[in-house]
Amino acid sequence: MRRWASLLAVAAVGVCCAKGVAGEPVLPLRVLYVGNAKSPRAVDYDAFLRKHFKQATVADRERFDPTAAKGADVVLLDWSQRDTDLRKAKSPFGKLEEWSKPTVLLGSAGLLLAGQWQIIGGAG
Amino acid sequence: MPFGTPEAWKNAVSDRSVDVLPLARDGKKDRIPGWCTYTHEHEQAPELEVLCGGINYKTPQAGAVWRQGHLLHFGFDLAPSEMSNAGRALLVNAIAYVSRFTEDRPIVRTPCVFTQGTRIFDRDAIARRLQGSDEDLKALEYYLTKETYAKLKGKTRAQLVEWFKDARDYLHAGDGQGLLMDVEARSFGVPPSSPEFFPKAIAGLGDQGPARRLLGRYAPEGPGTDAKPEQWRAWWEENRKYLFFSDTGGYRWYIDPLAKRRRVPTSGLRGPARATRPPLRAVES
Repeated sequence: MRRWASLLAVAAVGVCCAKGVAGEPVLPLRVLYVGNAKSPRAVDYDAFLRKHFKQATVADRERFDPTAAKGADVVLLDWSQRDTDLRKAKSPFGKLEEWSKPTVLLGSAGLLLAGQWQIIGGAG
Repeated sequence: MPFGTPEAWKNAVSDRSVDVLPLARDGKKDRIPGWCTYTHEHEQAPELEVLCGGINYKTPQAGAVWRQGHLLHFGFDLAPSEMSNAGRALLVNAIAYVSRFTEDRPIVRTPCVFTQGTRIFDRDAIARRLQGSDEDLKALEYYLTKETYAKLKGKTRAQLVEWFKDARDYLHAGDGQGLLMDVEARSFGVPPSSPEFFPKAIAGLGDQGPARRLLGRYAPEGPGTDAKPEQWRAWWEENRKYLFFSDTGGYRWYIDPLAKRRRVPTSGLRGPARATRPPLRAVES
């Protein structure tokens, strides 16, 4: 675990050395952020993702249609226990078997999905 | 930088501080904590990869950034503007990393105690308690069925250790109400999670013994309890390199579909090797 943290720290230096000049390098990914679309946090994530990736889009989690992820390479799910009672949560992505996009689960989004999909992440 | 060892860690970490990489711009600000996961309980899962832990109020073994299949958990609950340079870089790297896993999928399925009302512990959760405090011994009640715990209540630590040595290889989750001994497996004499299980059980299919039921119980992806021995044998030959046993996944064997598709033994397909796409290179925007 310590070795991974060190590797990531080195990578962190590499990514952060690209300063704001014309043609700043970005990673060739289309990223979709799914969260509370009108929140300041979504605006924050949108600006951040646009800075580092070829394409960034924001979608609202409450009304999310999984087919909207078709054009994305990676989906970020931002879903807090403050937004939803864990026992009443409903996966915005439908069934696990039907969800094929590489996904980053931010904060406790992993817990909320684990409760629905019965995958690792439901205890911590 | 050094960070004071959390109180909850002090049974496992004797140092007064631990070295951390700060991911928050303002470390002193109060904020809602993120989510850490007891990933160490699920280490049998080939599709599980832990990238780093983090400061939490549970255990130093919990994972903070980790992957199961094509799902990467980033447990730090910060907006990018709240993150340090390292925090933002970690998030960018996490997004870039998971983008490579277009084929891998979660394999191990395990109930969530908050929604299903039950949780399946790995058998070594008991071993961890037996190495802990006297309070830890009392907590064994929560890992075992009522009947199993009733037989153990009042035993000394040494007696519990002896019981566990004998019982460990034959514990299973039953109907999800706690761990108990599989008496049938015990009488059959081959630990269900051992490599010898399939050859011995398949060889025992001709007898009137429990082999057929044990195969059905521990290998639900097999040809079924009504299958002929030659069907089980063929299934075993086809899948043996791709099988793995998971305690928290229900005390059963699973087939690793990615390993089978790639014709690579599951024991050798871990971590970045499970990625489909190569590492990314940044391009001019």
